[in-house]
Amino acid sequence: MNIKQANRMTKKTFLHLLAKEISGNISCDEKRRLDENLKKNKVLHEVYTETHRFMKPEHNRPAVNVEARLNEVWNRINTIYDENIIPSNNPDTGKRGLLPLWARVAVTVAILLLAGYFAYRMVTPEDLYTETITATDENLYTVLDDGTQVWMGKHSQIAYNKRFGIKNRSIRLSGEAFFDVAHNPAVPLTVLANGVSVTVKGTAFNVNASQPDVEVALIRGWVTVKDMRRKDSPEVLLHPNQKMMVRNGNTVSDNSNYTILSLVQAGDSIVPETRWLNDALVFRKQRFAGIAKLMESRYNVSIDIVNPQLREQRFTGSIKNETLPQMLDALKQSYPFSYEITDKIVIIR
Amino acid sequence: MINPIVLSKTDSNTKQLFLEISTENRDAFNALFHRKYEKLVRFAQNFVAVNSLAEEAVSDVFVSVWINRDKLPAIDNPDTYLYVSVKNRCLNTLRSKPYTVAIDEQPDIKKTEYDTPHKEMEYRELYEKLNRLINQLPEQQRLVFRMIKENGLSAKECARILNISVRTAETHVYKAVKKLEEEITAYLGYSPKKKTTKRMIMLAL
Repeated sequence: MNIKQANRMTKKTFLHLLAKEISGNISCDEKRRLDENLKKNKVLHEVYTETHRFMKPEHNRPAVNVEARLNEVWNRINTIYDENIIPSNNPDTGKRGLLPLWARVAVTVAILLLAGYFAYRMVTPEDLYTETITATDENLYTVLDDGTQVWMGKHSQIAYNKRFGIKNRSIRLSGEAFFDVAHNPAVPLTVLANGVSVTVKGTAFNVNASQPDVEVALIRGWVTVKDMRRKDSPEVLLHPNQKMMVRNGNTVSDNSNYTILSLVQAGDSIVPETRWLNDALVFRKQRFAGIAKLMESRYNVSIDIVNPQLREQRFTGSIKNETLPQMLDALKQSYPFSYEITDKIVIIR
Repeated sequence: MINPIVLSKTDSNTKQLFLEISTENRDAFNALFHRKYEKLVRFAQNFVAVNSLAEEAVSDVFVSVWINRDKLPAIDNPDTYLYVSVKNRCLNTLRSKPYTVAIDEQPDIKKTEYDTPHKEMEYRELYEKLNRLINQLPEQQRLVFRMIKENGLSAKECARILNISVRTAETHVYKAVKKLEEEITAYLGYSPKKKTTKRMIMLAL
Protein backbone atom coordinates (compact mmCIF):
# COMPACT_ATOMS: atom_id res chain seq x y z
CA MET A 1 0.00 0.00 0.00
CA ASN A 2 2.81 2.33 0.92
CA ILE A 3 4.39 1.90 -2.43
CA LYS A 4 1.24 2.76 -4.22
CA GLN A 5 0.93 5.94 -2.27
CA ALA A 6 4.47 6.92 -2.91
CA ASN A 7 3.92 6.42 -6.57
CA ARG A 8 1.51 9.29 -6.54
CA MET A 9 3.89 11.46 -8.44
CA THR A 10 3.59 10.27 -11.99
CA LYS A 11 6.68 9.35 -13.90
CA LYS A 12 5.92 12.11 -16.34
CA THR A 13 5.94 14.78 -13.65
CA PHE A 14 9.11 13.31 -12.21
CA LEU A 15 10.86 13.42 -15.58
CA HIS A 16 9.62 16.91 -16.17
CA LEU A 17 11.06 18.14 -12.89
CA LEU A 18 14.30 16.22 -13.33
CA ALA A 19 14.75 17.70 -16.79
CA LYS A 20 14.10 21.15 -15.36
CA GLU A 21 16.67 20.57 -12.68
CA ILE A 22 19.25 19.43 -15.21
CA SER A 23 18.41 22.37 -17.47
CA GLY A 24 19.19 24.63 -14.55
CA ASN A 25 15.87 26.38 -14.18
CA ILE A 26 13.96 24.48 -11.54
CA SER A 27 12.10 26.71 -9.09
CA CYS A 28 12.38 26.31 -5.32
CA ASP A 29 8.86 24.97 -5.10
CA GLU A 30 9.45 22.44 -7.81
CA LYS A 31 12.69 21.33 -6.23
CA ARG A 32 10.94 20.81 -2.88
CA ARG A 33 8.23 18.79 -4.55
CA LEU A 34 10.79 16.67 -6.33
CA ASP A 35 12.79 16.03 -3.14
CA GLU A 36 9.69 15.07 -1.15
CA ASN A 37 8.63 12.55 -3.71
CA LEU A 38 12.11 11.12 -4.00
CA LYS A 39 12.05 10.38 -0.29
CA LYS A 40 8.91 8.36 -0.70
CA ASN A 41 9.68 6.49 -3.88
CA LYS A 42 12.64 4.15 -3.91
CA VAL A 43 12.57 3.49 -7.65
CA LEU A 44 12.46 7.15 -8.60
CA HIS A 45 15.16 7.86 -6.07
CA GLU A 46 17.49 5.34 -7.65
CA VAL A 47 16.78 6.62 -11.13
CA TYR A 48 17.41 10.13 -9.85
CA THR A 49 20.72 9.18 -8.24
CA GLU A 50 21.97 7.30 -11.30
CA THR A 51 21.00 10.11 -13.65
CA HIS A 52 22.88 12.64 -11.57
CA ARG A 53 25.87 10.36 -11.27
CA PHE A 54 25.90 10.13 -15.04
CA MET A 55 25.55 13.88 -15.40
CA LYS A 56 28.90 14.51 -13.76
CA PRO A 57 31.43 15.62 -16.34
CA GLU A 58 33.58 12.80 -17.61
CA HIS A 59 36.83 12.66 -15.74
CA ASN A 60 40.13 11.25 -16.85
CA ARG A 61 39.75 12.77 -20.25
CA PRO A 62 42.98 13.50 -22.06
CA ALA A 63 44.59 16.36 -20.25
CA VAL A 64 44.92 19.72 -21.93
CA ASN A 65 48.29 21.37 -21.54
CA VAL A 66 46.92 24.87 -21.03
CA GLU A 67 50.28 26.48 -20.36
CA ALA A 68 51.82 25.14 -23.57
CA ARG A 69 48.80 26.18 -25.61
CA LEU A 70 48.94 29.66 -24.12
CA ASN A 71 52.57 29.90 -25.18
CA GLU A 72 51.66 28.84 -28.68
CA VAL A 73 48.89 31.42 -28.85
CA TRP A 74 51.28 34.21 -27.85
CA ASN A 75 53.80 32.98 -30.38
CA ARG A 76 51.21 33.01 -33.09
CA ILE A 77 50.10 36.50 -32.14
CA ASN A 78 53.70 37.67 -32.20
CA THR A 79 54.28 35.97 -35.54
CA ILE A 80 51.27 37.71 -37.04
CA TYR A 81 52.63 41.08 -35.93
CA ASP A 82 56.20 40.27 -36.96
CA GLU A 83 55.35 38.95 -40.39
CA ASN A 84 53.29 41.92 -41.34
CA ILE A 85 55.69 44.42 -39.81
CA ILE A 86 52.99 46.01 -37.79
CA PRO A 87 54.47 48.27 -35.18
CA SER A 88 54.18 46.21 -32.09
CA ASN A 89 51.79 47.87 -29.72
CA ASN A 90 53.09 45.80 -26.88
CA PRO A 91 55.86 47.85 -25.39
CA ASP A 92 58.76 45.91 -23.93
CA THR A 93 58.00 44.93 -20.39
CA GLY A 94 61.08 46.78 -19.22
CA LYS A 95 59.95 50.07 -20.64
CA ARG A 96 56.37 49.59 -19.66
CA GLY A 97 56.55 51.39 -16.36
CA LEU A 98 58.20 54.49 -17.85
CA LEU A 99 55.22 55.62 -19.86
CA PRO A 100 52.32 57.05 -17.92
CA LEU A 101 49.00 55.41 -18.59
CA TRP A 102 47.56 58.25 -20.65
CA ALA A 103 50.62 58.20 -22.90
CA ARG A 104 50.26 54.49 -23.45
CA VAL A 105 46.65 54.96 -24.38
CA ALA A 106 47.53 57.76 -26.76
CA VAL A 107 50.26 55.72 -28.41
CA THR A 108 47.95 52.77 -28.73
CA VAL A 109 45.26 54.86 -30.31
CA ALA A 110 47.71 56.41 -32.76
CA ILE A 111 49.11 53.07 -33.76
CA LEU A 112 45.68 51.57 -34.12
CA LEU A 113 44.62 54.42 -36.36
CA LEU A 114 47.69 54.04 -38.52
CA ALA A 115 47.75 50.31 -38.62
CA GLY A 116 44.05 49.77 -38.48
CA TYR A 117 43.42 49.68 -42.17
CA PHE A 118 46.22 47.26 -42.91
CA ALA A 119 45.47 45.22 -39.86
CA TYR A 120 41.95 44.59 -40.97
CA ARG A 121 42.75 44.10 -44.61
CA MET A 122 45.75 41.90 -44.19
CA VAL A 123 46.32 40.45 -40.78
CA THR A 124 43.02 39.36 -39.45
CA PRO A 125 43.67 35.78 -38.41
CA GLU A 126 40.71 34.77 -40.53
CA ASP A 127 42.78 35.78 -43.49
CA LEU A 128 45.90 34.04 -42.36
CA TYR A 129 45.11 30.40 -41.82
CA THR A 130 41.64 30.04 -43.22
CA GLU A 131 42.12 27.16 -45.61
CA THR A 132 42.73 23.82 -44.00
CA ILE A 133 43.53 20.36 -45.26
CA THR A 134 43.54 17.41 -42.93
CA ALA A 135 44.75 13.89 -43.48
CA THR A 136 42.59 11.28 -41.82
CA ASP A 137 44.11 7.91 -41.06
CA GLU A 138 45.97 7.77 -44.33
CA ASN A 139 48.80 9.81 -45.77
CA LEU A 140 47.52 12.52 -48.06
CA TYR A 141 48.98 14.10 -51.17
CA THR A 142 47.87 17.51 -52.33
CA VAL A 143 49.00 20.37 -54.54
CA LEU A 144 48.48 23.92 -53.27
CA ASP A 145 47.42 26.80 -55.51
CA ASP A 146 50.99 27.95 -56.13
CA GLY A 147 52.02 24.46 -57.30
CA THR A 148 53.69 23.44 -54.04
CA GLN A 149 53.35 19.71 -53.50
CA VAL A 150 52.57 18.51 -50.01
CA TRP A 151 52.72 14.99 -48.65
CA MET A 152 50.94 14.92 -45.32
CA GLY A 153 51.39 12.20 -42.71
CA LYS A 154 48.43 10.50 -41.10
CA HIS A 155 46.24 12.84 -39.00
CA SER A 156 48.36 15.81 -39.91
CA GLN A 157 46.83 19.13 -40.73
CA ILE A 158 47.95 22.19 -42.62
CA ALA A 159 46.26 25.56 -42.53
CA TYR A 160 47.23 28.29 -44.97
CA ASN A 161 46.17 31.71 -46.16
CA LYS A 162 43.61 32.48 -48.84
CA ARG A 163 44.93 33.26 -52.34
CA PHE A 164 47.99 31.22 -51.50
CA GLY A 165 51.06 32.29 -53.41
CA ILE A 166 49.92 35.72 -54.54
CA LYS A 167 51.15 37.88 -51.68
CA ASN A 168 51.68 35.45 -48.94
CA ARG A 169 52.55 31.81 -48.39
CA SER A 170 52.01 30.99 -44.73
CA ILE A 171 51.37 27.43 -43.69
CA ARG A 172 50.72 26.20 -40.21
CA LEU A 173 51.45 22.53 -39.71
CA SER A 174 50.45 20.09 -37.06
CA GLY A 175 51.84 16.61 -37.52
CA GLU A 176 54.30 15.72 -40.24
CA ALA A 177 54.56 16.84 -43.85
CA PHE A 178 56.98 16.89 -46.76
CA PHE A 179 56.96 20.04 -48.88
CA ASP A 180 58.22 20.34 -52.42
CA VAL A 181 57.93 24.09 -52.73
CA ALA A 182 57.18 25.78 -56.04
CA HIS A 183 59.97 28.25 -56.79
CA ASN A 184 58.93 31.85 -56.26
CA PRO A 185 61.58 34.04 -54.65
CA ALA A 186 59.21 37.01 -54.54
CA VAL A 187 56.87 35.29 -52.12
CA PRO A 188 58.76 33.32 -49.48
CA LEU A 189 56.97 30.37 -47.98
CA THR A 190 56.83 29.92 -44.23
CA VAL A 191 55.85 26.80 -42.37
CA LEU A 192 55.05 27.27 -38.72
CA ALA A 193 55.09 24.06 -36.71
CA ASN A 194 54.80 24.02 -32.91
CA GLY A 195 56.22 27.52 -32.77
CA VAL A 196 59.20 26.69 -34.98
CA SER A 197 59.14 28.56 -38.24
CA VAL A 198 60.83 27.38 -41.43
CA THR A 199 61.24 29.92 -44.23
CA VAL A 200 62.02 28.81 -47.77
CA LYS A 201 62.17 30.08 -51.28
CA GLY A 202 61.92 26.95 -53.36
CA THR A 203 63.08 23.68 -51.99
CA ALA A 204 62.05 20.29 -50.70
CA PHE A 205 62.02 19.53 -47.04
CA ASN A 206 60.33 17.45 -44.39
CA VAL A 207 58.93 18.85 -41.15
CA ASN A 208 58.01 16.50 -38.37
CA ALA A 209 56.11 18.23 -35.60
CA SER A 210 54.14 15.28 -34.35
CA GLN A 211 56.01 15.63 -31.07
CA PRO A 212 56.69 18.88 -29.23
CA ASP A 213 60.26 18.59 -30.52
CA VAL A 214 60.32 19.65 -34.15
CA GLU A 215 62.48 17.98 -36.75
CA VAL A 216 63.27 19.63 -40.09
CA ALA A 217 65.00 17.57 -42.76
CA LEU A 218 66.18 19.40 -45.87
CA ILE A 219 66.53 17.52 -49.16
CA ARG A 220 67.34 20.32 -51.58
CA GLY A 221 67.57 24.10 -51.73
CA TRP A 222 67.93 26.00 -48.48
CA VAL A 223 65.73 27.04 -45.62
CA THR A 224 66.09 29.09 -42.47
CA VAL A 225 64.69 27.78 -39.22
CA LYS A 226 63.74 29.90 -36.25
CA ASP A 227 62.33 28.82 -32.93
CA MET A 228 59.57 31.34 -32.30
CA ARG A 229 58.95 29.90 -28.85
CA ARG A 230 62.19 31.37 -27.58
CA LYS A 231 62.70 35.09 -27.48
CA ASP A 232 66.24 35.43 -28.77
CA SER A 233 66.80 32.25 -30.71
CA PRO A 234 68.83 32.75 -33.89
CA GLU A 235 67.75 32.08 -37.43
CA VAL A 236 69.61 28.98 -38.51
CA LEU A 237 70.45 28.33 -42.14
CA LEU A 238 70.14 24.71 -43.13
CA HIS A 239 72.01 23.13 -46.03
CA PRO A 240 70.76 20.27 -48.20
CA ASN A 241 70.96 16.86 -46.57
CA GLN A 242 70.97 18.34 -43.13
CA LYS A 243 68.51 17.70 -40.40
CA MET A 244 67.77 20.02 -37.54
CA MET A 245 66.11 18.97 -34.32
CA VAL A 246 64.59 21.73 -32.24
CA ARG A 247 63.78 20.64 -28.73
CA ASN A 248 60.77 22.00 -26.94
CA GLY A 249 62.23 23.38 -23.77
CA ASN A 250 61.54 26.80 -22.42
CA THR A 251 63.71 26.09 -19.45
CA VAL A 252 66.94 25.67 -21.40
CA SER A 253 68.94 28.75 -20.55
CA ASP A 254 71.51 28.75 -23.35
CA ASN A 255 70.66 28.97 -26.99
CA SER A 256 71.62 25.47 -27.96
CA ASN A 257 68.22 23.86 -27.89
CA TYR A 258 68.80 22.59 -31.39
CA THR A 259 71.11 20.09 -33.04
CA ILE A 260 72.10 19.81 -36.67
CA LEU A 261 72.78 16.36 -38.08
CA SER A 262 73.61 15.06 -41.52
CA LEU A 263 71.02 12.96 -43.25
CA VAL A 264 72.26 9.45 -43.76
CA GLN A 265 71.16 7.78 -46.93
CA ALA A 266 70.19 4.16 -46.73
CA GLY A 267 71.25 1.67 -49.40
CA ASP A 268 68.51 2.72 -51.81
CA SER A 269 69.49 6.40 -51.72
CA ILE A 270 66.41 7.33 -49.73
CA VAL A 271 66.90 9.08 -46.43
CA PRO A 272 64.86 7.54 -43.60
CA GLU A 273 63.17 10.89 -42.89
CA THR A 274 61.32 10.77 -46.19
CA ARG A 275 60.76 7.03 -46.46
CA TRP A 276 57.16 7.49 -45.38
CA LEU A 277 56.44 9.34 -48.62
CA ASN A 278 56.34 6.02 -50.41
CA ASP A 279 53.77 4.59 -48.03
CA ALA A 280 50.12 4.34 -48.95
CA LEU A 281 48.47 7.71 -49.44
CA VAL A 282 45.27 9.32 -50.60
CA PHE A 283 44.52 12.33 -52.78
CA ARG A 284 41.25 14.19 -53.06
CA LYS A 285 40.05 16.12 -56.08
CA GLN A 286 43.56 16.72 -57.34
CA ARG A 287 44.24 17.97 -60.85
CA PHE A 288 45.79 15.37 -63.11
CA ALA A 289 48.82 17.62 -63.54
CA GLY A 290 49.47 17.35 -59.80
CA ILE A 291 48.97 13.62 -59.76
CA ALA A 292 51.43 13.35 -62.63
CA LYS A 293 54.02 15.15 -60.48
CA LEU A 294 53.27 12.72 -57.69
CA MET A 295 53.76 9.75 -60.00
CA GLU A 296 56.98 11.26 -61.34
CA SER A 297 58.54 11.38 -57.90
CA ARG A 298 57.02 8.12 -56.72
CA TYR A 299 57.97 6.00 -59.71
CA ASN A 300 61.00 8.03 -60.73
CA VAL A 301 59.77 8.65 -64.29
CA SER A 302 59.02 11.73 -66.33
CA ILE A 303 55.45 12.22 -67.50
CA ASP A 304 54.24 14.17 -70.48
CA ILE A 305 50.53 14.95 -70.73
CA VAL A 306 49.58 15.75 -74.28
CA ASN A 307 45.90 16.45 -73.79
CA PRO A 308 45.44 19.84 -72.04
CA GLN A 309 41.90 18.96 -70.96
CA LEU A 310 43.16 15.96 -69.09
CA ARG A 311 45.58 18.13 -67.12
CA GLU A 312 42.69 19.96 -65.51
CA GLN A 313 40.66 16.85 -64.79
CA ARG A 314 40.37 16.16 -61.07
CA PHE A 315 40.78 12.75 -59.48
CA THR A 316 40.25 11.27 -56.04
CA GLY A 317 41.84 8.02 -55.03
CA SER A 318 44.39 6.16 -52.96
CA ILE A 319 47.65 4.38 -53.69
CA LYS A 320 49.03 1.49 -51.73
CA ASN A 321 51.70 -0.50 -53.50
CA GLU A 322 50.42 -0.32 -57.05
CA THR A 323 52.89 -0.24 -59.90
CA LEU A 324 52.82 2.65 -62.32
CA PRO A 325 50.77 0.79 -64.98
CA GLN A 326 48.32 -0.36 -62.31
CA MET A 327 47.86 3.19 -61.13
CA LEU A 328 47.41 4.55 -64.64
CA ASP A 329 44.88 1.81 -65.42
CA ALA A 330 42.94 2.71 -62.31
CA LEU A 331 42.89 6.41 -63.21
CA LYS A 332 41.78 5.52 -66.71
CA GLN A 333 38.61 4.03 -65.28
CA SER A 334 37.26 7.41 -64.19
CA TYR A 335 38.48 9.45 -67.15
CA PRO A 336 39.50 7.74 -70.38
CA PHE A 337 43.02 8.28 -71.70
CA SER A 338 45.76 6.19 -73.19
CA TYR A 339 49.38 5.99 -72.18
CA GLU A 340 52.70 4.71 -73.40
CA ILE A 341 55.60 3.82 -71.18
CA THR A 342 59.00 3.73 -72.80
CA ASP A 343 61.89 3.34 -70.45
CA LYS A 344 61.51 6.16 -67.91
CA ILE A 345 59.25 8.33 -70.03
CA VAL A 346 55.46 8.20 -69.92
CA ILE A 347 53.33 9.84 -72.58
CA ILE A 348 49.67 10.33 -71.78
CA ARG A 349 47.10 11.23 -74.43
CA MET B 1 51.64 42.34 -6.99
CA ILE B 2 49.07 39.83 -8.03
CA ASN B 3 46.43 40.95 -10.41
CA PRO B 4 43.14 40.71 -8.52
CA ILE B 5 41.38 39.45 -11.64
CA VAL B 6 43.45 36.32 -11.66
CA LEU B 7 42.06 35.37 -8.31
CA SER B 8 38.37 35.92 -8.89
CA LYS B 9 36.52 32.90 -10.07
CA THR B 10 33.03 33.78 -11.19
CA ASP B 11 32.18 33.82 -14.85
CA SER B 12 30.51 37.20 -14.63
CA ASN B 13 34.00 38.63 -14.65
CA THR B 14 34.63 37.60 -18.23
CA LYS B 15 33.17 40.98 -19.10
CA GLN B 16 35.71 42.64 -16.83
CA LEU B 17 38.53 40.61 -18.41
CA PHE B 18 37.38 41.59 -21.87
CA LEU B 19 37.59 45.24 -20.88
CA GLU B 20 41.08 44.74 -19.43
CA ILE B 21 42.23 42.93 -22.57
CA SER B 22 40.97 45.75 -24.73
CA THR B 23 43.48 47.99 -22.94
CA GLU B 24 46.40 45.71 -23.88
CA ASN B 25 46.50 43.91 -20.56
CA ARG B 26 48.37 40.69 -21.22
CA ASP B 27 47.80 39.40 -17.70
CA ALA B 28 44.07 39.66 -18.26
CA PHE B 29 44.43 37.71 -21.48
CA ASN B 30 46.41 35.01 -19.68
CA ALA B 31 43.81 34.89 -16.93
CA LEU B 32 41.01 34.52 -19.44
CA PHE B 33 42.95 31.81 -21.20
CA HIS B 34 43.56 29.85 -18.02
CA ARG B 35 39.96 30.12 -17.02
CA LYS B 36 38.31 29.28 -20.31
CA TYR B 37 40.68 27.26 -22.46
CA GLU B 38 39.98 23.77 -21.20
CA LYS B 39 36.24 24.36 -20.94
CA LEU B 40 36.13 25.58 -24.50
CA VAL B 41 38.18 22.62 -25.71
CA ARG B 42 35.69 20.24 -24.08
CA PHE B 43 32.97 22.14 -25.85
CA ALA B 44 34.79 22.05 -29.20
CA GLN B 45 35.13 18.29 -28.87
CA ASN B 46 31.38 18.10 -29.40
CA PHE B 47 31.96 19.23 -32.97
CA VAL B 48 35.37 17.94 -34.02
CA ALA B 49 36.51 14.46 -33.17
CA VAL B 50 40.25 15.02 -33.18
CA ASN B 51 41.54 16.46 -29.95
CA SER B 52 44.26 18.53 -31.57
CA LEU B 53 41.73 20.10 -33.92
CA ALA B 54 39.51 21.06 -31.01
CA GLU B 55 42.46 22.70 -29.29
CA GLU B 56 43.45 24.37 -32.53
CA ALA B 57 39.99 25.86 -32.95
CA VAL B 58 39.99 27.28 -29.43
CA SER B 59 43.51 28.67 -29.89
CA ASP B 60 42.36 30.34 -33.11
CA VAL B 61 39.57 32.05 -31.21
CA PHE B 62 41.97 33.32 -28.57
CA VAL B 63 44.34 34.68 -31.21
CA SER B 64 41.46 36.53 -32.78
CA VAL B 65 40.34 37.85 -29.38
CA TRP B 66 43.74 39.51 -28.97
CA ILE B 67 43.96 40.76 -32.55
CA ASN B 68 40.49 42.26 -32.37
CA ARG B 69 40.82 43.38 -28.76
CA ASP B 70 39.61 46.89 -29.49
CA LYS B 71 36.21 45.46 -30.35
CA LEU B 72 35.84 43.54 -27.10
CA PRO B 73 34.14 46.26 -25.04
CA ALA B 74 31.20 46.19 -27.43
CA ILE B 75 30.45 42.55 -26.69
CA ASP B 76 27.53 42.22 -24.32
CA ASN B 77 27.81 38.61 -23.36
CA PRO B 78 31.47 37.54 -23.53
CA ASP B 79 30.90 33.95 -22.42
CA THR B 80 28.35 33.29 -25.10
CA TYR B 81 30.58 35.12 -27.55
CA LEU B 82 33.46 32.74 -26.81
CA TYR B 83 31.31 29.64 -27.15
CA VAL B 84 29.72 30.84 -30.38
CA SER B 85 33.13 31.73 -31.84
CA VAL B 86 34.48 28.29 -30.99
CA LYS B 87 31.39 26.66 -32.46
CA ASN B 88 31.73 28.61 -35.71
CA ARG B 89 35.43 27.90 -35.90
CA CYS B 90 34.74 24.17 -35.50
CA LEU B 91 32.02 24.18 -38.12
CA ASN B 92 34.39 25.91 -40.53
CA THR B 93 36.99 23.26 -39.85
CA LEU B 94 34.43 20.59 -40.60
CA ARG B 95 33.30 22.31 -43.78
CA SER B 96 36.81 22.57 -45.15
CA LYS B 97 37.38 18.86 -44.69
CA PRO B 98 34.18 16.90 -44.81
CA TYR B 99 36.05 13.69 -44.15
CA THR B 100 36.22 14.33 -40.46
CA VAL B 101 33.19 12.87 -38.80
CA ALA B 102 31.63 14.62 -35.86
CA ILE B 103 32.36 12.93 -32.60
CA ASP B 104 30.56 9.68 -32.15
CA GLU B 105 32.73 7.79 -29.83
CA GLN B 106 33.72 9.14 -26.46
CA PRO B 107 37.04 8.27 -24.93
CA ASP B 108 36.71 5.29 -22.64
CA ILE B 109 36.47 6.16 -19.06
CA LYS B 110 39.37 4.47 -17.43
CA LYS B 111 38.56 5.05 -13.83
CA THR B 112 35.56 6.11 -11.88
CA GLU B 113 35.35 7.44 -8.40
CA TYR B 114 34.37 4.05 -7.04
CA ASP B 115 37.04 2.36 -5.02
CA THR B 116 36.09 -1.28 -5.12
CA PRO B 117 36.70 -2.99 -8.44
CA HIS B 118 33.34 -4.67 -8.32
CA LYS B 119 31.38 -1.47 -7.90
CA GLU B 120 33.52 0.16 -10.52
CA MET B 121 32.78 -2.57 -13.02
CA GLU B 122 29.13 -2.43 -12.23
CA TYR B 123 28.94 1.28 -12.68
CA ARG B 124 31.00 1.21 -15.80
CA GLU B 125 28.57 -1.12 -17.47
CA LEU B 126 25.70 1.27 -16.85
CA TYR B 127 27.82 4.25 -17.74
CA GLU B 128 28.76 2.75 -21.10
CA LYS B 129 25.12 1.97 -21.79
CA LEU B 130 24.01 5.49 -21.03
CA ASN B 131 26.86 6.96 -22.99
CA ARG B 132 25.94 4.92 -26.04
CA LEU B 133 22.36 6.00 -25.63
CA ILE B 134 23.33 9.68 -25.59
CA ASN B 135 25.54 9.23 -28.64
CA GLN B 136 22.58 7.82 -30.53
CA LEU B 137 20.40 10.84 -29.82
CA PRO B 138 19.64 13.20 -32.70
CA GLU B 139 22.47 15.65 -33.31
CA GLN B 140 21.09 18.69 -31.56
CA GLN B 141 19.61 16.80 -28.63
CA ARG B 142 22.96 15.19 -28.02
CA LEU B 143 24.75 18.50 -28.32
CA VAL B 144 22.56 20.26 -25.77
CA PHE B 145 22.88 17.32 -23.42
CA ARG B 146 26.67 17.17 -23.72
CA MET B 147 27.01 20.91 -23.24
CA ILE B 148 25.09 20.63 -20.00
CA LYS B 149 26.91 17.52 -18.85
CA GLU B 150 30.47 18.35 -19.84
CA ASN B 151 30.45 22.13 -19.71
CA GLY B 152 28.03 22.69 -16.85
CA LEU B 153 25.97 25.09 -18.92
CA SER B 154 22.29 25.72 -18.39
CA ALA B 155 19.66 25.03 -21.03
CA LYS B 156 19.26 28.77 -21.41
CA GLU B 157 22.94 29.26 -22.16
CA CYS B 158 22.89 26.34 -24.62
CA ALA B 159 19.96 27.94 -26.38
CA ARG B 160 21.82 31.23 -26.76
CA ILE B 161 24.97 29.54 -28.03
CA LEU B 162 23.20 27.29 -30.51
CA ASN B 163 20.77 29.99 -31.53
CA ILE B 164 17.65 27.99 -30.72
CA SER B 165 14.77 28.85 -28.40
CA VAL B 166 15.06 28.06 -24.71
CA ARG B 167 11.96 25.93 -25.00
CA THR B 168 13.54 23.82 -27.71
CA ALA B 169 16.65 23.34 -25.60
CA GLU B 170 14.53 22.28 -22.64
CA THR B 171 12.59 19.85 -24.77
CA HIS B 172 15.88 18.33 -25.91
CA VAL B 173 16.87 17.85 -22.28
CA TYR B 174 13.50 16.34 -21.44
CA LYS B 175 13.72 13.82 -24.25
CA ALA B 176 17.27 12.86 -23.33
CA VAL B 177 16.38 12.49 -19.65
CA LYS B 178 13.41 10.34 -20.58
CA LYS B 179 15.64 7.99 -22.55
CA LEU B 180 18.09 7.84 -19.66
CA GLU B 181 15.32 7.04 -17.23
CA GLU B 182 14.10 4.16 -19.38
CA GLU B 183 17.57 2.71 -19.62
CA ILE B 184 18.32 3.11 -15.92
CA THR B 185 14.99 1.62 -14.91
CA ALA B 186 15.56 -1.37 -17.15
CA TYR B 187 19.09 -1.76 -15.87
CA LEU B 188 18.09 -1.65 -12.24
CA GLY B 189 15.50 -4.31 -12.89
CA TYR B 190 12.44 -2.11 -12.59
CA SER B 191 11.64 -2.40 -16.25
CA PRO B 192 7.98 -1.61 -16.91
CA LYS B 193 7.02 -5.12 -17.93
CA LYS B 194 8.45 -6.72 -14.83
CA LYS B 195 7.09 -4.04 -12.60
CA THR B 196 4.27 -6.01 -11.06
CA THR B 197 6.23 -9.13 -10.33
CA LYS B 198 9.06 -7.13 -8.82
CA ARG B 199 6.62 -5.29 -6.66
CA MET B 200 5.12 -8.53 -5.51
CA ILE B 201 8.48 -9.84 -4.50
CA MET B 202 9.27 -6.68 -2.68
CA LEU B 203 6.01 -6.82 -0.87
CA ALA B 204 6.56 -10.42 -0.01
CA LEU B 205 9.90 -9.59 1.45
